[in-house]
Amino acid sequence: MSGEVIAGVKPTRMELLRIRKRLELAEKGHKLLEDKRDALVERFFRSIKERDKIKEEAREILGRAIEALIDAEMIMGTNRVKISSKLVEKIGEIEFHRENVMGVKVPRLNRDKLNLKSRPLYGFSDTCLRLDEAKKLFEKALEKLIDLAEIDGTVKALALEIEKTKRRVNVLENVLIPRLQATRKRIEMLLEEREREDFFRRKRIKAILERRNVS
Amino acid sequence: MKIVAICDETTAMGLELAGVHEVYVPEGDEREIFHDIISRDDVGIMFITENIAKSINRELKEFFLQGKEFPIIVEIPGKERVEGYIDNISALIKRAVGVSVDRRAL
Repeated sequence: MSGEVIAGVKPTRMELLRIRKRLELAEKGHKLLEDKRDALVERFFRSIKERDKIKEEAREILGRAIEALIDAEMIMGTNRVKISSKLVEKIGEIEFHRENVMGVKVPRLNRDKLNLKSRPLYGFSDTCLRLDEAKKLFEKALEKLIDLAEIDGTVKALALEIEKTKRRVNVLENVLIPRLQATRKRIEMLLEEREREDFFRRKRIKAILERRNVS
Repeated sequence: MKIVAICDETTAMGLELAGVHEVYVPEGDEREIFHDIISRDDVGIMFITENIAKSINRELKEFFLQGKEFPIIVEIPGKERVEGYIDNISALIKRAVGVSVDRRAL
């Protein structure tokens, strides 16, 4: 399918010029897209590296936080932990703005509106130390998880864009450019053939005329 | 925007302690909760524990394929960890690059 000649193109000089121009444009676009893809992939790898690190940290802290919470549950009883967990200030509005990374919009968090050290509203007399520890650890974990969410958003946007770019590069490389090349070649060949026919015809006429003149 | 979590009871308490806006503990209705949340537009981040994510894996995959920006879904380990769980972002990375990315290779 790739080397197919584009159907319905007349073998004329005008068409040849047009095909040549299109080919040039396609090649230029192909190069640009390839560069874009490479730049995106590089950026993507950096994000992945960062993501793996944050993910590892988040998992570790979360594990410890859950342990502390289970301890608190054992000391205070599940119900009281549950009630205490409701008596906490919320972390405040999270807001995203968009940052442009090589034409890809990636989410960035506005951190100044976040209130990560929320004040506990539960009483100190009927809770235990492990609960406070669990709260601190969960706050830390949440901070990491929010970082992770931000970078996940970036990675997702980049991955989708890379896929799109890759597809475009492949279409140009494997379909459009070979087709244009095949069409160009065919037109060139047809034109040459016609020229040869013309040339031969002229020679022949010349010969006939010369023979007539002689006789 | 808000942070929402779908998780088991213990993780729910912990996340509430840290100040997450809304937590849901599903009792067999995780699908409905999930659809409710992704159709809302005031949710910025959604946490979901691995074992719940596993049970609604098809819906999650669908969501990731849509390419919607928000909510950003983060799969977190809950009280019970799922061994060898591959989160959807990692799967997406694998698909985009063509191979699974090994950290040592970087």
